[in-house]
Amino acid sequence: MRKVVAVELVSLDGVIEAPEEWAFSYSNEEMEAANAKGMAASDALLLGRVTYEQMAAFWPEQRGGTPMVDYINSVQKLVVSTTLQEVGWNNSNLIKDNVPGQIAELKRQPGKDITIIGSAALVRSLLKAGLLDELRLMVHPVILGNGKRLFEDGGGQEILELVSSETFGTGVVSLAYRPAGEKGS
Amino acid sequence: MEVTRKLIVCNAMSLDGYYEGPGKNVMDLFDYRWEAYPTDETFDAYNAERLRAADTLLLGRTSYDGFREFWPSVADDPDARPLQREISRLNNAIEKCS
Repeated sequence: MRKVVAVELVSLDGVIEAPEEWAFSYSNEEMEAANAKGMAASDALLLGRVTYEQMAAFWPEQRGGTPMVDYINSVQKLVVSTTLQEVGWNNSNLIKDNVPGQIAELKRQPGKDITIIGSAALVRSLLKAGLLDELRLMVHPVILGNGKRLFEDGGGQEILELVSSETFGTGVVSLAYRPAGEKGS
Repeated sequence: MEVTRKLIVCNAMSLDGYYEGPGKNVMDLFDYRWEAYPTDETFDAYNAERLRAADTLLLGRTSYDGFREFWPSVADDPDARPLQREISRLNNAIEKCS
């Protein structure tokens, strides 16, 4: 079965908003290599509306020829939104209703991993619904002090299990978690 | 250059950045660890190492009260693990500033 893997750039205080302003300067060759591994293992992006709109405004304008740009523009994009009527970016499809059911069905289809980038509200709802297989937090050594957080106050308790961790030379720590379901089970 | 003592902050924290659970209960952070890793002493070993490397413990009022309530009796608790009894002895002996 295909795994749904969420990759999140987060600050030390859990903020995920506008990573282009604070995260990209920590990127180096090792992190690009880790990204390349993730891209090779995945053949679909699953995105919330906000993240989709930000990415659709940026990536099609980028010059092709680099693995990252070519991958993102050509890979299948699945966009979860109840308000969007159409998605114009190359190889994009809308998921408008029965989101848990459709994502469960996608996981049953043959294919590689399904990667979520950003899309905090979607990540929270899939975690609650038991449909998220892996949460990969790229924790950056900066306290931002404000901005939208990945986890909101009052979201309730979720137990996760650490699968692996990797420390990059720029001080970013990649923590891969698997939801553990009910307390410790 | 003048060599000064280092001030090291050591906090237990949940993935979403909380250091206590509902009702200001810090034990929420540790319940899971005990359930899933009943024989794992890595966390205690790390804390004992930090205390052995320090000669002053700097605490805010709330943490000081919490420590004072929890740690003094652990040293003589036959049910506590040896490492926890050591942490208790270290906490009891170390100079505390609050």
